Amino acid sequence: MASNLARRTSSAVVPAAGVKRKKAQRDRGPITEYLAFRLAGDVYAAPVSIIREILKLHPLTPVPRAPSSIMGIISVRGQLVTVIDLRRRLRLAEGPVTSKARILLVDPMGLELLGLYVDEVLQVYRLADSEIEHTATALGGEVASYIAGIARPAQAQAPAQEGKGVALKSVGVVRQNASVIILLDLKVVLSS
Amino acid sequence: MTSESERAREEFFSEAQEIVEGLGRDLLALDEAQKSGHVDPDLINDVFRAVHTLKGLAGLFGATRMSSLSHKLEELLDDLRLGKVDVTAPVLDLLFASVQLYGKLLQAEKEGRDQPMPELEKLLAQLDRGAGAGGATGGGGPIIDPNLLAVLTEFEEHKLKTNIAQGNTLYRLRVRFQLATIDQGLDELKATAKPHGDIITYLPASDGDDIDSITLEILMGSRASAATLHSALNHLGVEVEPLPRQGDGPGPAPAPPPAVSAAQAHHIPTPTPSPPPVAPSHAPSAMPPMGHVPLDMTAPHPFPAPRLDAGASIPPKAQELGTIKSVAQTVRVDIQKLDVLMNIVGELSIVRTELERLLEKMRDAHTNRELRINLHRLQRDFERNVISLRRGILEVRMVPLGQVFDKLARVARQISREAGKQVNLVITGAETEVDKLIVEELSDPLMHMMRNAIDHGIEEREMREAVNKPAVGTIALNAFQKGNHVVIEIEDDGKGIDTERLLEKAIRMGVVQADEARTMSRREVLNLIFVPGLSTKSSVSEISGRGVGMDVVKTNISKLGGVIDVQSEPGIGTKFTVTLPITLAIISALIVKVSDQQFAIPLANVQEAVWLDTEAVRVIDGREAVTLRGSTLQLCYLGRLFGLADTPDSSGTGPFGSGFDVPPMGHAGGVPPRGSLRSESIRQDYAAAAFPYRPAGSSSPSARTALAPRQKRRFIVVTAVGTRRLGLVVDSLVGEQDVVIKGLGPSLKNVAGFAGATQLADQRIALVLDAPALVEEMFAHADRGRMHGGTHGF
Repeated sequence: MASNLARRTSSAVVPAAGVKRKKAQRDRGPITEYLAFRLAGDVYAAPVSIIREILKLHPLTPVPRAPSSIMGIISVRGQLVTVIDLRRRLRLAEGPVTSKARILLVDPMGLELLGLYVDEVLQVYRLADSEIEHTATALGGEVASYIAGIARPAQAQAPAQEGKGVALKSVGVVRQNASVIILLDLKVVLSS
Repeated sequence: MTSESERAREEFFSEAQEIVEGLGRDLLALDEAQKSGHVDPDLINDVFRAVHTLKGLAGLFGATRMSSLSHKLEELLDDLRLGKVDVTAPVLDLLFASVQLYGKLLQAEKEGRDQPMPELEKLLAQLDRGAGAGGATGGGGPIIDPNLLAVLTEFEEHKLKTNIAQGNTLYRLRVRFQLATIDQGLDELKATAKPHGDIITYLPASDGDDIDSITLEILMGSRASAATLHSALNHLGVEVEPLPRQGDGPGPAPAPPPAVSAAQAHHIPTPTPSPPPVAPSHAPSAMPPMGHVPLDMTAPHPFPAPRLDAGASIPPKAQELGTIKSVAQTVRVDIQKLDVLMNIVGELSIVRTELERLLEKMRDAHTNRELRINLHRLQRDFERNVISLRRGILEVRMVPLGQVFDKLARVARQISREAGKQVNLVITGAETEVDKLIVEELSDPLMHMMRNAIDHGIEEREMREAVNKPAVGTIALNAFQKGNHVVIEIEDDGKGIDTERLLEKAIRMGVVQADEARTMSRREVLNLIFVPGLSTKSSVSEISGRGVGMDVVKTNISKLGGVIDVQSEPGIGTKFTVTLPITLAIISALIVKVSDQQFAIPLANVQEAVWLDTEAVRVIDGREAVTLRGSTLQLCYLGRLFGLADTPDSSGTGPFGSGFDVPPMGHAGGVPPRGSLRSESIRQDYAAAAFPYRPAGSSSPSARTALAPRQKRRFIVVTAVGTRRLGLVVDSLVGEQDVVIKGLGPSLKNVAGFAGATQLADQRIALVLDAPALVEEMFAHADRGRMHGGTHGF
């Protein structure tokens, strides 16, 4: 069910957009939805399909002796969930925790429900496969294996919520988002 | 989903499983009986019935392999029952193998696997041969009047033939019982008569004059003379009369009813055809449960028709109906469903606390007094019900240890046969109840210990005889409840653990240093058995293999919150003692605070809590300890162990709390990272520990200095695991609470020291300390530190 949500084509979401969008989609290949979030100033994203829920920062119970990237445990409707600090897992700088911080509930391996700390949740992007640069070709072989790819949504499309209308190719509108989005392979991130 | 048929299948599996387990029990009893030389025909009958029921079940659910196995088994058992085949060890082996195979078949059926099973084919072939093989015991000569045979069931006929073949005399006993006390009377008679011979059948006779009593004619085969029997049974008012062997009665009587004529043929007086039975179907059957004799029976029918097909032959309808009824009265529940219920109870408890808090608030807010009182009453009702709900669920989870003991007994038999050793297994306390989950998890460790006991413990027969021990080894399996714990002991009377060889090997493997070995106590040496890779037997046996087992056993048991201890005397035997909590679902815990973080310590592990007198702390061989009630108590500063600030300091628990590898803020030199905690550093640290709150050179703000006197009052929570004690130093005690432990996720499985976490009444999560693991760690840590001269960390 979740993967349907993620893989649903833009035509399924906005049938009104009609022929034009369908055509655009044909050109760009299948589209996947990614949730973008901020970590240490940079924008990262993971497929929406694996994100179960977005929580505000619960009071955490730290677990002594746990690896440093484990922030602690929270209770989500009676279930214990281990919260992982993605910044530490990815060895990024740690800024202060603000009220924008969120916990993403994911279960990428189907083994355990985990919480992922992120500094801020941004938005959902629809990215076609053609818009994603695969790291090996873009950056050579020395890239961390948890990076699934790099996307530049600003050059390719507007953010999902703005993409309903005609502004499909209006690059200028989203210039401020013209940063690079690093797509994470959470399976690799969380299994390391 | 076809949930209906799914459920029926589930039902099938659990019922089949139950029957197979029962079958295993019966076989064990049969095995006992075979060894003692007197096989109780009733037992064979029970086995037969179990297999028959299985056959029916398997047929119903299309488990063809199971039904064909049952079919073949049934044939063999029928032959056993009728004495065509003797109960011998090989036959029993075949039967035990079948029980095992049933287990496998069930498993395969459950998983929907359908691949061929060579062992099934093999067993079926063996069963075919086995059925023909055994020599018949009964002479079976037609000495008995065919008319009598017609009345007796096939089974009774077999008993009769056996008696005749053994040259026993047949006796007719006549005894009158008061209907009201017939149960006791009959039991007494059976018990008295048993040593003298075999009761073949009971036939009710009628005198027709007394409605409160019943006269029974009993056909019995015995070696004893009439006089002996008479004197033995006289006090019960039994008339004894020997029967001639050949039928010398008035010859074949008219057919209907044949039973009557048969009785006449054998001088069993035909009762006058008296008032018809009130409830003929209730009349005593061949092996009559006499309790079923209706009390309002004026005069029993002499030979009630149902008798002919009752009892020993193919289980009659009535029995099948009996099974259905018993199924209807018990419900099999998936333990996970109970866990869900338990979680809900946990949530309810939280609601309860919340309610209580609201009530407090209402009191302060001076709300309507009447309303408040009513609410309060409701709240108390609620509380009471939640408590009984919880107790109820806990009770449902409890199962007798017998479940696992039965399995062990089967394993013991198998191993002892394989090892060629004779072993007598004595089980006590099988009725002791433990949480289902614990029972499940226990079977592997116990199985392993059983194997060790037979394989390594009990000596070869010759060796035993050489040291004047009974040739048959004894293994005692005891269980009993001790407070909140259940203790299981496995004790053998074998040769004991060879500590010298154990030590030798430990030194060879580098577990122990040679000079260290000299100072080790016997107890310490014995405990080496739990070190991975240590086994005293140099030859690897197929059964217990090398010593990969005991460390795993120990790990598994500590996962259940239990401890294992070993005692062994050379030449006398070895005893393993396993102490387990009764339930895992819910525990009473002591909530403590360390540096503002709450932890729960299972009360089962807590002996007492005392003030920590810092003046009294001494350092012995690198370990801090105090003297408590005359004995030394090693201390473990939880704050330091967990890398939490030693003082309640808010900066220590930010959103990240404190990973141990991140030294808590604001503590310049107070807390070393755990990784470097070794005896050296403890010693250095001691300087700080003696004045624990303000390490020298610390630039603590004066606010903290002001706090210091208050913090001095810390506590030692004395935890006891087995015979070891450890003092956990905590900042404060919060109180006792019943908590539902939830496991930490796989991502935290490598974090030692926590058994799980629990949601406290105030909604906060507290980690539950794994006291056995902590004790283990502290002692191992100390041991190793000592063994390697304190130069290695861990």
